Amino acid sequence: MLQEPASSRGSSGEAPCKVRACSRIVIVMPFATPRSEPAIASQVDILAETRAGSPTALAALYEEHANQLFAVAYRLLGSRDDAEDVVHDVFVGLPEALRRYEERGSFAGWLRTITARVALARIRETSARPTIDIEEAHVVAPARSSDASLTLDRALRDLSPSLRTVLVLKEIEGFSHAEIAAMLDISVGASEVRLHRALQALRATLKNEKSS
Amino acid sequence: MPFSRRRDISDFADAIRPELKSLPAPEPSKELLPRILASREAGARIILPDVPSEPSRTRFKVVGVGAAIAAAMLLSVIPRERSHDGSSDDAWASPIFLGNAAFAQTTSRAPLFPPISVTRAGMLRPMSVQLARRYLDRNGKLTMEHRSDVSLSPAVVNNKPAWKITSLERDVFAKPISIAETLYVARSDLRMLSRAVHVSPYRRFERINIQQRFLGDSVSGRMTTDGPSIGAGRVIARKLDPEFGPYLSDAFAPMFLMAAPLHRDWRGSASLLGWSVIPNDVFAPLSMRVEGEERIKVPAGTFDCWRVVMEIAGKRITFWARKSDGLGVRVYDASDASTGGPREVLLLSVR
Repeated sequence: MLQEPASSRGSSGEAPCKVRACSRIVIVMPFATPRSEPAIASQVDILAETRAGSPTALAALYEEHANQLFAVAYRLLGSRDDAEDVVHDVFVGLPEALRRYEERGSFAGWLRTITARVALARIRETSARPTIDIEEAHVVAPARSSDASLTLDRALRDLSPSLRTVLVLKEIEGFSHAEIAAMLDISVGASEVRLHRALQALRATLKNEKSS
Repeated sequence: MPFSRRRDISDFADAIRPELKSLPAPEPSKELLPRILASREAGARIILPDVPSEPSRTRFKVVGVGAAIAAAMLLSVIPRERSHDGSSDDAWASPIFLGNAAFAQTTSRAPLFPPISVTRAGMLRPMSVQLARRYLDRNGKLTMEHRSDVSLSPAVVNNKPAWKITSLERDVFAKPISIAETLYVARSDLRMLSRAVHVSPYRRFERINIQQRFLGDSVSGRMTTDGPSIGAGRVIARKLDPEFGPYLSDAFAPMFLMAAPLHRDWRGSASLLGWSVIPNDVFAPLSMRVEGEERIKVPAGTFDCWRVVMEIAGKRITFWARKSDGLGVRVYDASDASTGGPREVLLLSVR
């Protein structure tokens, strides 16, 4: 039965397994030209240099990603100082961590997940409810913030850490329940329940705020 | 309607989400970057977590994800055609149906053809097929023959209809080796949901286990090994570029084209998924084109077929799919990557 396919043996070839050839079309498979990806190559270069320990490349990555990562950490921790510590740790550990990054996924997404995990580890270490002092409240609430967003920000902070964490990761940062479950070492169902409770609590708080 | 007045919690979530996303956040202080660089300069090093992390096996069982279920059900074998040895860190795929092409991953080219359009997913039905895989050496001597049982059965994953594909291959020369794969795909579009592969033995290990989950454009999971030498295992976390989709698993390859509208001028691209443990075994782009029509006689019967030529990793493989339902009945590879000789897969039976 092991026979060369008829299409590669010329028109006179007849494979034993083939009773009747209905039609035959010889196709020459064209080769595509390699894609040029200058933007990707540029990022690859920066990552390679960072991996090699270049402070300049690390600074370039910081300039590009620090604000977003700081926001992730801040949302989870509720403390500017803690968020800065998390971002500090992420960038200090980044050159070594990049050796495990295969440059196939979204780098920003990978960094964001690492940052969230480092922030969650910090929450677990302190086991304390995130607090915010008056000075930080001013930082959090720039002048352009509306009353509604200030109210929502306060309501968010009133949530327990476990509920707030899931709410932030799911609704603000866009992680899936499966990803959240993996980060928090809980089941997907538990993540869904926590989100539901967080939304209920948030709605109740906002209703009270509105009525008062 | 303002979010505070929404009754249903999901409505409330939809309403509050944009508000939450637009909450202002502060920026890091200007001292942070110099502090980071100073820490690095002073020799500070911090070990960051591997991401994405893998859920515990307990959680897998609770949520009923197919990969863990499959892990409890299946057992398997090493393909002896693997010629290179090394540590488990080199773990790479062992496709049965389409050969070892996925190992030679090439992604520098854009797909040759449009993505395969899964327009006939309803054509799939519960079925069991038996396949024979035969190898000859350069002198024409039969060196290896494997038998594979592949079944397709209805399943439910995350409350949605799915297909469960199981593939178990054994060496007919009675060597104690086996390859088992369980795959769950969405019934609507055949998108992969989870996958488990077990090969036993595998190099110095009693068994290697590959567990994969598919979320969005990523595959994540874990490679583990079983005794006597227990390896540390490795996290699987790779992006599956949508440009190269749809992705299919080798176990599903005999049935995948049942969902494609094959015709005389049909062509399409897809990618064969590897184990994704090492960077060059994530996936291999696969270009397919109907080249002709033939009546093919195999042990399962005589069938009018589309002859489909596949190009994968620079290799040309011929695949015959039944006209009646698209089921693969024969594969021919003139020069298998592992032996250098011909490799053929034949449909032995279908029910």
